[in-house]
Formats: sequence, C-alpha cells, structure tokens
Amino acid sequence: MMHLSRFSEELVIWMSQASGFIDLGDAWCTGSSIMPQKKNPDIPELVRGKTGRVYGDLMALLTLMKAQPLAYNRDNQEDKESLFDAIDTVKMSLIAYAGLIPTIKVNHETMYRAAAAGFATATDLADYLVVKGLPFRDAHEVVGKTVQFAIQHDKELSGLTLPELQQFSKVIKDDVYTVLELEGSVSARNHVGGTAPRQVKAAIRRLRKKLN
Amino acid sequence: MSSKNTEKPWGGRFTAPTDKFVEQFTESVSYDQRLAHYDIMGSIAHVRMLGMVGVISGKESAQIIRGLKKIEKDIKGGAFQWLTTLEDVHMNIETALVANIGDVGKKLHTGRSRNDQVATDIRLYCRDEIDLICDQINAVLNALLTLADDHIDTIMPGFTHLQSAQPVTFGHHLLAWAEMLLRDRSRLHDCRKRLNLLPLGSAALAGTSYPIDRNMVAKELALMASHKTHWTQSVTVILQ
Repeated sequence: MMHLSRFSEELVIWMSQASGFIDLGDAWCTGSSIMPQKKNPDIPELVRGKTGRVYGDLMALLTLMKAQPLAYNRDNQEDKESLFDAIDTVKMSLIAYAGLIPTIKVNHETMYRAAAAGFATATDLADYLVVKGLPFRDAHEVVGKTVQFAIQHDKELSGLTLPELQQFSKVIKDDVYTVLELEGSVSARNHVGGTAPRQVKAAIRRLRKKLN
Repeated sequence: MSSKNTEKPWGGRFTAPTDKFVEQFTESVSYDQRLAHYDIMGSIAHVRMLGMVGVISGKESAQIIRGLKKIEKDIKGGAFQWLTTLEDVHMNIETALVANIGDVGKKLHTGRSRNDQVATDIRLYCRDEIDLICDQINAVLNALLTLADDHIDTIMPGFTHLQSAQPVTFGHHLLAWAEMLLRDRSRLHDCRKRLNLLPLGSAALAGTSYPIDRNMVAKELALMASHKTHWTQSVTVILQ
C-alpha cells in the first residue's frame, strides 16, 4: 500500500493545474457539487487515504500481539477484522489501479517544457567537461557559474551562445549542444537501468518475463 | 441430550447459562464466517486422517465428511443459519453437523482444539488471498508496462526534493513503479512460504495423545507439516 500511495501522490500532483503533466479518464474521476469546472483525481486520493487505513490495521495487529504470553489467548479473536479489512482494501486498491492506469493521458508538450525549464541538463554539461579533461569538482563549479549566468540572463543552458559558454571554460566547443538537448541527455544514459529508450525497452522486456 | 446446564458444546462444567451480554461480546461468527470454506476443508482433512489411523472408524469418517460437504453446500447456497449464540464459525458448523447427522458428528473434534483449527483456517485463507493479490499485482504491472512502452521517448523532468533534477522519460519513471510492485509481489511470495505450514495437530497447545498423522493432513491441504507457530506474525508480513 505504501508504494501505491506514493504513486497516488504523484498522479495527484501531475494532474494538478500547476503541473498539467497528465489527465485521467473521465470515467475514473469525479466532479464537485459546487464548482462546475472540477474534475478531481479521487481514485488516487482514496488509495492514498486507504493506505492510512491499512497501516491502522497493521498497528492494531502489532499492538494486539505485543503483550501476549504463549499460547492461545482470546485477544487473538480481535485480529480477524483487521486482517480481513486490510486484505479487502489492498484488493480494491489494486483493482482500482489496474483500471485507472490505462486511462492515463500524457501531455507531452507540458512535460517537455517542464524538463527543459529547470537546467535539468546541468549534470550532462559537467560530464561533458569531465570528458574534455576537467576534474569533476572543477566541472561542477564551472557549470554552477554557468547556471547562475543563465538565470541572470533569463536563458536556458541550451539557449546560451558558444562565446557565452566559453567564458566559463575554453574546452567547450559547439558539440556541447547535443549534450544540452534533452533528447541527447536521455539517450546518453545508455546502460542497464538507464534512460536511453533502447534500455527502457529492454527493461520492459525483462519485466514482462517476470509477469508469469 | 445431556445433563449439563447450558446448551453450549463446552457447557459441561458450567452451572449457569451464558449471560446474553457475554454472548454478544464474545461472538465472532458475524465476521469469521468468512473462513467457513477453509474451516470445512481443514475438518475434512482432519477427519479423514482420524478414520485412516483408526481413532474413529472409516464409516464414521465417511459419514462426517458427507455431512461437512452438505454444510458447505448449504453455506454457499445461503441456506445455512449462522447463530451468534454459537460463538464462532467452528461451533456453528460443528453444531449443524451434529444436528444433521446425529451423535457421530460429535467425533469431529477429536484430537484438535479451536486454537489449532482457527490457525489452520487463517493460513489457508491467507494463502488463497495472497495468490489472488499476486494476480492483481500482475494486472497492475501489465498496465504499467503497456503504458511505459508507449512512452519510452516521452521526456519529462525527473525530480529530487521535488525540484527539477535530470531529464528522464515517462516510460523510465513508470518502470520504477513496476519494480516496486514486483518487490511487493516477492514479499508476498516469501510470506506464502512461511505461512504454508500446518498448525492442526498441535491441538490446544501441547499436541494430542491420539496417534494422529499430521503429514497426512498436511498432504491433503498441500501444506508443510509443522509444530504450532504463531500465525499472526505472517499477518504482519502480509500488511507490508
């Protein structure tokens, strides 16, 4: 339940107007009795809430056992309802998620813009400098200053001109822009578990085998 | 029927009938009737073994098994009447058995206690529920992997401290959730191994002087034979 609850939290945040990353199917959301425009992510909210309920069941059982001498004590009769409730709640929550996930619609542009906006390729720039011969700590410092410059001039890293970049390190050449682009950054992490699309594809294949 | 002062199956040493409030306060049949199927399954395995080892006759064993199967049918069909005055699922079934097949039904409870009986019921119940939950986890995993496959190129920000950290893809992110659920499924599998043990035969706590064959009962229930252990520990494992 803890994992479903954390997943729920992300879905709720992603569906908020402030984030706007995803939308959930109409059939899996509910409206407001007063605000006509509302479409609320009640399913993940409820799963997040029901996690508290299952934790409560667990606490009830642990507390029930904590002072019992061996062997049977009538206290144990009190375990049934917590156990049944926890199992029922877990099952309902899993049914909810199996139904909800296929209705997730992704807003590609919003996600992409958000990824482009937060200097997310700064680490890639530091790694680029390391490949060019700088020690990582120095590269970290260079990129920190570059980010500060970009913030002051209201630009993204990929929006800086080559001379602007070169004032922080002479080793930067025009091949830097592939590194600063999001696609390049994602594809560069090309190892088992990395973000490169072919690695994700392979991971999906591996996980599918575990379904049986 | 007997000279005892109450109609309870354990009423022999009592001189007064149970107070009505105490009956209400102590009953569990209103919720533990959910275990009926497993209670009967355990009883059938137990009584078959009693017949095989000669504690009761083969004929008596067969009669009781027939009676138990009939009760299971009644319960499934909704014809069974649950009585809170009979406390719990065990006494309800046993009392109905005696009412249906007569005094031979009283031999069902030979060499066991409700203590090992309920522990067996719960293990059988949890085993089935774990299997169901694992199937449901697989359904969620399947949905996650299908969605991830559609989004291996969909770029999104990855976060730490909920601050933009490094670019990832939505597909990559979803796989983290899939792996978490796989770990949960693996925990349930471990839990299943630990709970797949047979408490029946330990009776109230110390075992029984009848020449019972626990392995035979375990085999019928597809459980590993064991000494009595505290099953509530496995309950806490499930809740992880």
